[in-house]
Amino acid sequence: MKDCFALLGVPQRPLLDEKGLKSAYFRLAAECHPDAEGGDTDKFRELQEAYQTLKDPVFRLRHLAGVVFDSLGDSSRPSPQSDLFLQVGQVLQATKAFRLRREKSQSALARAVMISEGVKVREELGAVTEAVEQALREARVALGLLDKRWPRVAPEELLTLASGWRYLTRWQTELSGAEFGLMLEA
Amino acid sequence: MIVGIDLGTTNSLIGAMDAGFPVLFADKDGGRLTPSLVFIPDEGEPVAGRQAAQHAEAIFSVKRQMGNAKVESNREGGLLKKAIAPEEVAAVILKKLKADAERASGQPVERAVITVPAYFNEAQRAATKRAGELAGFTVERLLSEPTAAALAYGLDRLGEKSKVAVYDFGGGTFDVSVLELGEGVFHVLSTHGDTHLGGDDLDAALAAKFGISRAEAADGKKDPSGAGFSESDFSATCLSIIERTRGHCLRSLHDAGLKAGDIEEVILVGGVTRMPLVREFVREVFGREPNLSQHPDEAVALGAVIQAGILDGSVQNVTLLDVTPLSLGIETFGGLMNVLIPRNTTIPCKAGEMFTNAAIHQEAMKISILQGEREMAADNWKLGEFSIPFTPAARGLVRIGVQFELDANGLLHVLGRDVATGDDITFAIRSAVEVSDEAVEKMLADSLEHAFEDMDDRQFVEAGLKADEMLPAVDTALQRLGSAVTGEEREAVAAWVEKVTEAREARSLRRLKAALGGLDAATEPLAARLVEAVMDGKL
Repeated sequence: MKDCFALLGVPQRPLLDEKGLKSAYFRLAAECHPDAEGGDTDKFRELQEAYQTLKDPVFRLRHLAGVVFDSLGDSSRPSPQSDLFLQVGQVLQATKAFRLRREKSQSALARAVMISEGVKVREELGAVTEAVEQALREARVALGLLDKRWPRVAPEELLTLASGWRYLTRWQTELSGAEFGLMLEA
Repeated sequence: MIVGIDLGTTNSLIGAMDAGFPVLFADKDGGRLTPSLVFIPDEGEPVAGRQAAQHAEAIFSVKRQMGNAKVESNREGGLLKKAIAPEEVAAVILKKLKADAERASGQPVERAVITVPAYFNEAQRAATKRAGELAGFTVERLLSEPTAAALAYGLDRLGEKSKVAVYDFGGGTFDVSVLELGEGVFHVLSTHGDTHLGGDDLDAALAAKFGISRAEAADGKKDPSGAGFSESDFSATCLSIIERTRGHCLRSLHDAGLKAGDIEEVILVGGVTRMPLVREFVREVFGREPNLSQHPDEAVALGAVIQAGILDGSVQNVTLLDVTPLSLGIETFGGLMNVLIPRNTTIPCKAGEMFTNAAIHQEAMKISILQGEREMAADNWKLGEFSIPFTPAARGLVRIGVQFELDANGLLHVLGRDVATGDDITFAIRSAVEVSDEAVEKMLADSLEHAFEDMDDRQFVEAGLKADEMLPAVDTALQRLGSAVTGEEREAVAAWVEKVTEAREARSLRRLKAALGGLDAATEPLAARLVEAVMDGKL
């Protein structure tokens, strides 16, 4: 297994300094970009892959578990925080239904009547988004704690945090996409 | 020497680095802009530029047809006598530019960087590269236009760190890109656009509005009052087109994870950005004065020249990290698109996925390659379909790896690998995504079969749906607005509601349409008041 930390010349840790990582990436990219003298497309693609892996906490934690502990975890994923999962599902479905109805609407009056409903849908979306963001803030705190204890950390701890985080970022993307669509079509 | 070329919808330019500076070449008439017009005579050599402009049957805006199988029509809207591919037409323009550059520089020119709209898809990019090859160039790089403009803007600001947006509104295409500049790196964060939105659409809209020809509209928009356009009609017509760029700007910011306030400069390029209406619009969307430091017609070409300089080593300490504008993936179970390379991924890059066999007797795996942002596979562009053969084995034992590689031009190469044997198969992407005529005819026939037998029936059903929507909306609106509705208005609305109900019962399409139109008009002030009330927070 290749070591993305070594490739970018950054420490093997759960928490990375974002600016330092980006700076290392830019420096190496300038050297191996195919446009540069002595550059190499395959080398650049590898750098690119490594940077994507380390930039994202989910991929980084998994990669760390793999490189340091040779552990990829079992394939059965722990289930997400179920109450939040339900909330996210419900509000996304409600938003989708509302957007569809508004898109099909044929009269100015019906659209005007829907405006206050739209405001309500947006408020609900906002509330769930806030809950997801709160959970993400907690995940960031947990990451900081893992980093403090490093390397006295079990690989399962890395993988559990990564998997919970993955759900949260996915939901965040979907929620912000829904909110964006709601705003843009209005 | 490598030249840089801006192959534009309306005009094209060519240039090269000279003593460390990007320089554009003039043709023998002394002009740096070559009109992107091509005339193909029945006999003899095709001509491009000002020479072609004298012919009414010249082909214009061929760039908007790149990626199609053939060119549809000429300047007058007449159909072409013989079938010709858009890349063959573009090649005539490129050949003319090549000759201009050779005369101006006094040396043979063979290698080129050609710009493309950032939002060009695989087929449009491949066609542009092919055009360059047909003109006798080795195409060293396809470069996104807003990225090129950013290079022109940032070359003498390499030390500064900043986040900029490039708003590129040209003759036929619109792009917006968000970049981060600093440490000599031009890092594109996101890009969005429409490859069929530009000055041409403004001309068409103005021509339709004022009953004039497109050429008259194109001239008139430079001086609307001189052309006799009423100011309010002119603004409204233009804004209906300009407004279509708003969503792209917002999406691009959203994808970059930024807010309008995070952008330090909004650089305008493309001929349409000369219009005061466009500048005002950009000021409103980004909340800042747009940056007009770049020449609207020349910045993209200068950027192409700088990229050529990066490639031949005459420009140093500059690294360009561009992105792919559209997601790439494959069709997966249930007709969904499975994204392998998400949009705005830095190129060159690669991504892969493993697949296994679903049945014992399976001998091959079919892979459909898709490009686009929609959830359903069928809603995206299909770039190709391949079959990867393998030796049959027990279910789940065969392992097939599919790898996508995007090169620095944003062009895709696909590799399939049977992990057991290590056999690699490389696939070529078909160059035109346009479906064949037979396929279109079949799609049409299918849809007609499922259509309503009678147009009137269908229209009546549609009008009925509108009535279903409007009648409850009227009740809600009257209730919510309460005393804000005058007695007169109430009576008028009630009268139209009754007419709608009667017309439905009588099953008269004509009367139902008229009644719905009347109800629409009568409730218009109510709709406006409702919107106002919500905005004021009264509801």
